[in-house]
Amino acid sequence: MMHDDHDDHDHDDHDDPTVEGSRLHLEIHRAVDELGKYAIEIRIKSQRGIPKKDILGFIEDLMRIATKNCLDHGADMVGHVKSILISEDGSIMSSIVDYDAATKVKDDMGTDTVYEGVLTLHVIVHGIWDDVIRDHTKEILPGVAKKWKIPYEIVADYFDMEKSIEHHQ
Amino acid sequence: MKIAQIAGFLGSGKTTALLKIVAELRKKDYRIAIVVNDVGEIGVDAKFIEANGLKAREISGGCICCQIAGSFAETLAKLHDSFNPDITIVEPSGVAIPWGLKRAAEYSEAKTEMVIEHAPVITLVDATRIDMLIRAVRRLVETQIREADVCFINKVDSATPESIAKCESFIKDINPRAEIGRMSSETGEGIALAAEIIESRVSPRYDDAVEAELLKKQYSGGGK
Repeated sequence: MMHDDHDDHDHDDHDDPTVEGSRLHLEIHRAVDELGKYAIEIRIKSQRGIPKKDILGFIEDLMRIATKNCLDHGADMVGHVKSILISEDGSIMSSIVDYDAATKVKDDMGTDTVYEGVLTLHVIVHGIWDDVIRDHTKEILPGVAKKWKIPYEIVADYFDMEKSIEHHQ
Repeated sequence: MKIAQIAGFLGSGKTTALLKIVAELRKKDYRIAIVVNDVGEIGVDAKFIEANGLKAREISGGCICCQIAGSFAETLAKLHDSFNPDITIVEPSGVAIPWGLKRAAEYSEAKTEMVIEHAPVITLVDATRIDMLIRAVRRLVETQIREADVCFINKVDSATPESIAKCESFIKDINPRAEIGRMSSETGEGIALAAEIIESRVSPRYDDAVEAELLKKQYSGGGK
């Protein structure tokens, strides 16, 4: 039978290890939520094909500008900004953990022209809430896509403020 | 079934290390399963693992150490029944509590005929941004270090000697019992050691009393 470890959260007895455990879980999950997170999935599709160098430029700009936009609007640390583009010809994984360091890119795309792929982007930063990250990421997407001439559609778009502590309340 | 968790804060290099460690273990013909618990509903880590030719079970929608412990236990039971891996490597979300994950893994014993054994808890500490971590998310990083059996100072290829020394001192202060290693997925340093630790050693099962003691230390305000 499953054990429910969230029954005692409203008590305030510091000598009770069960309560201490609940308090720690709550605090840890608040820490998660201080790490605001936002994820978006977009489909890139072009019948004429998109040069891989443009795809790489698009991903680099999207990640760096979204990160900078969050840092300019209250975030005080990058948690992890990461993305993966998957197509039938392979994948491109990119990662930022420090805005002042170069984006880490693992290019396993076995073609110079991409016709279709799905890009998943996670923006996780410390100090601002999920909806703020969402706004500051989505607002830059059209401009970056236009710069690199990337046709796209949003497939999934997710944020959920304080989801991880809801069950404690 | 042996469970090996590779803990560590976001961006500490868990997924890349996991890929290398799995490759090392597969050389020795171990049947390896991978379970990933990414932050948020749309995962990147599992996709990355699969793009590298491996299968990964992704669990989303919360933290596997507590919120979705049931889903995690169910996943482990199904993996056991369908694939029967020698070792299941778990990459928690970067905010999971190692002892909570042990407890959640042991729930799976009630779902099928198996006994869970734990490999030593490995926590990765990102040497390239130790100052930032201590400043912004100290409590979380302390918890992951405190509950580790082995801490690997990761990304040593791109960290300064001062940062590496600071990591070592920070880890020793929080968890003097932890074994400390150095790792770089770029150069391969520490990967074989991590695989050997997972393969050949075990960590105690979940124990309420031990977790209570860890939590008391956490709340006493002391580092040790």
